[in-house]
Amino acid sequence: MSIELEEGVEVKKGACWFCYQNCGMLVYVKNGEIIKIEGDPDHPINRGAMCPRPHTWKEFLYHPQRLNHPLKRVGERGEGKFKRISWSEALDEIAAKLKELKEKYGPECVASIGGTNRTDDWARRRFFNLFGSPNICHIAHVCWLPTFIAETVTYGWYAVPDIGNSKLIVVWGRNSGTNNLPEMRSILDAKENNNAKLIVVDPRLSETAAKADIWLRNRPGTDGALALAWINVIINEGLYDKEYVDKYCIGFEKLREHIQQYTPEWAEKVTWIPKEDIVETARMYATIKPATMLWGSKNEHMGWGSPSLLRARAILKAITGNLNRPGGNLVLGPDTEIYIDTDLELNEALPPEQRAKQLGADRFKMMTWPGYEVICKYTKEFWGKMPPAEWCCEAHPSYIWRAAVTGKPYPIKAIIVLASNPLVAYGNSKLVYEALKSVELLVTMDFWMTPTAMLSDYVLPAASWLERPVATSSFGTSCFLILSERPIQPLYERKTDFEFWRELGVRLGQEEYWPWKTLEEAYEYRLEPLGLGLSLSEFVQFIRMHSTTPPTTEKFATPSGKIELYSSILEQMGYDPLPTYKEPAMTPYSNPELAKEYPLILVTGIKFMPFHHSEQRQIPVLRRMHPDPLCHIHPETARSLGINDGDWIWIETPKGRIKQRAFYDVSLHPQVVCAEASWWYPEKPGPEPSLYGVFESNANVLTDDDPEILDQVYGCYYYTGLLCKVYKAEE
Amino acid sequence: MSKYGLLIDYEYCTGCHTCEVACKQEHNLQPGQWGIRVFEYIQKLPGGKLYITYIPFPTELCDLCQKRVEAGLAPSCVKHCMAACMKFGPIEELAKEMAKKPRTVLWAPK
Repeated sequence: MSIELEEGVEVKKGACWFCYQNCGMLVYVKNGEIIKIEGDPDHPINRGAMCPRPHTWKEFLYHPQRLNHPLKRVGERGEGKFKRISWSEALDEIAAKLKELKEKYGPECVASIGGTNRTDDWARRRFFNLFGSPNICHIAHVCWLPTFIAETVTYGWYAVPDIGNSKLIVVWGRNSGTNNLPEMRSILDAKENNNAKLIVVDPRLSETAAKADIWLRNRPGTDGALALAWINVIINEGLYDKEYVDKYCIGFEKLREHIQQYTPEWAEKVTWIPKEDIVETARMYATIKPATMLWGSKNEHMGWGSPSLLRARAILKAITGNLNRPGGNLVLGPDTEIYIDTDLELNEALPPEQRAKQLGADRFKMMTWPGYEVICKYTKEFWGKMPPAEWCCEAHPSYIWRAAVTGKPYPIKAIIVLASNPLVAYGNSKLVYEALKSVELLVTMDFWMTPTAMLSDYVLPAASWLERPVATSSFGTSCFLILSERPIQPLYERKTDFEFWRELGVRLGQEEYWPWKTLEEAYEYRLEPLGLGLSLSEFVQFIRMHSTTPPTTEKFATPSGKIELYSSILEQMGYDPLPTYKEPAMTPYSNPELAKEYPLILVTGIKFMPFHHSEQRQIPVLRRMHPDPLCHIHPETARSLGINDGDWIWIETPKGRIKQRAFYDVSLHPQVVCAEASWWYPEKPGPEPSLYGVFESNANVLTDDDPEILDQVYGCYYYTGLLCKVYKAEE
Repeated sequence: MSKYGLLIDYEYCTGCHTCEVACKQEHNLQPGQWGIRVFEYIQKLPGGKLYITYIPFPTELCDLCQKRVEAGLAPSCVKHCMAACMKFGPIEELAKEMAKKPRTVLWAPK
């Protein structure tokens, strides 16, 4: 007998949040307890499949180390001494402290750090807009949003890849084979069904590059040079779509003139890719129609190298006529039929004088209030909707840490961390540590006692996707909303982030702005414009992914209504309106002196199965598959340093050193090493100085977040293409 | 069950290790025991191109998820494969599929 037929078993339509893809899950529930989970065969994202992580739902849900009750610090900060308190005590005390700090230093002294799109961020923004602080952020500056903004200034929103109809797929700065498995399946489908070609740009032969027809191995951090050389070849060989460019684009002649300097010969010297390969792939991208190009977060990890790359990639889609063509990249805009995240953020509640105080806004204008207001003007006119302030309009974290430590330009006195472990997620971990130690109030809401939680004054237990409904739209920017129902009620005293912000807000005089008591009510409100009158559970029986049919339009949400190859918004904001290559700050070419001591080129942030970011290290089945952090190194380089495959090695930059195991990788250039991201050790002691070994193998000990070396337009961090040395570590 | 098997497409396996965990959890296997493992083989092809092959390899512990199959479900690895690169069915039918799709292997338990 199949499990569906057992008496008393209900099948709940859940959505997995062990990464941010939000695959559809069928959760079998009996007497309020989960008995089994299977991938939902009808869900458009995962089509029934289910990666390793949700298979371990039971270990996760009942893990003895999960946080189940609010905790208050009783010893010294970082000493690991906590006592259990009630939610109302915790919320009363936090609210009282926030009120006190607000009166003394102004509301901007309270900051918040978020995670990777597994929370209801609109609720956080709503709370802070009402509270009055503009200083909230995620790790948006290395994940997706710089691309979103670069494309939005070019053609009014992000252009979604239409993989299924494509004949050529370009994966660039991305490893779909570990980070987005449903997308990888779509790529393979296109190869099988359309005989699509696959080009992968990556310094290493990744799981995705393993399936490529052409793998371009570039010097890390120089991808912008490749993109610009592609434009050069496509324009100079007359391979661009003349009709499309004439009809929809402006600034083409300026672009043509500008990119003459970026010849394939020049790009070969910069990228270390043979010029023949650069020319061949440029021709392929321009002539195999339709061609699609995927987003890649690595493109946002190159500091000075990022802005020209992001814009050049947008321009490539336009000049080849692959924009808004089936099988290319489609500017679908937001979901205009429902209330999107932005509609719930209450951004109008934050007065101009508070917006002006946003940390980092004077430097990184395109992802803070100054650029956001301009983008909103045009998107609002065109789509009737604006991108969310969460993700698109954030204080820059490097400024938050500095303000906490130095009190300049004004002090940060409290930090609320939600679904994030900033000690591993943000560059310059030691500075992050100093900042977390300097504030008067540190609150962390999470599943686990993380290194960051260990330093906190209050630690609050979060409910997971197994215990809550989900409504999410890829950072609030997508043309769809993925919806799911709550499989079971939260265990112990776990709560959702929505409840946390709401209950904190109610205590701080915001009650009238929080009409929804439960997440279900809030989500049903989001669907109200559809006029269906269905409950969330009823709705998800029919629709798991709501999206609007985009209007067929000849115009774009830019100042000119055209695709702006020459960006008037960037020009207006004081930035380069055309993409100009800039070598990142710490490479053998930009800093040859430093390269004498640190001769190798380092990529940090390699992602790998079965983990997502810094999570799941506590789950034994998963951890046994990948027990130690690995640093990819070419065998020749390793042998010359006396390093055997599997040896522990030190990786060192001027910022610090970490230990990982050497992993022989013949696909690398011998001068390149690639370290895995996000390592900490939940099995090691929590109290200081160990903090679960957070400084032992965490690649962000190696990176710097000095605002000078970051990208100056969006604030992209510098995580790839920096200098390092490696040497054998004694066991 | 001996007339049933798995058709594994190693051209499209992406090495995500889903099948390993799907199997382990389904059968409550102990640490160190696997019903299926994904191996990785890298070599330089004539002409210099590096090529990685990922190949899922069912072990002697694989019973093709007899209980699931009796309940009308696909074996756990097949159901949950993120690349949809495994098929379950009668060997004769899978052999016909194999004729149409190169770079696959057909496997049957003892």
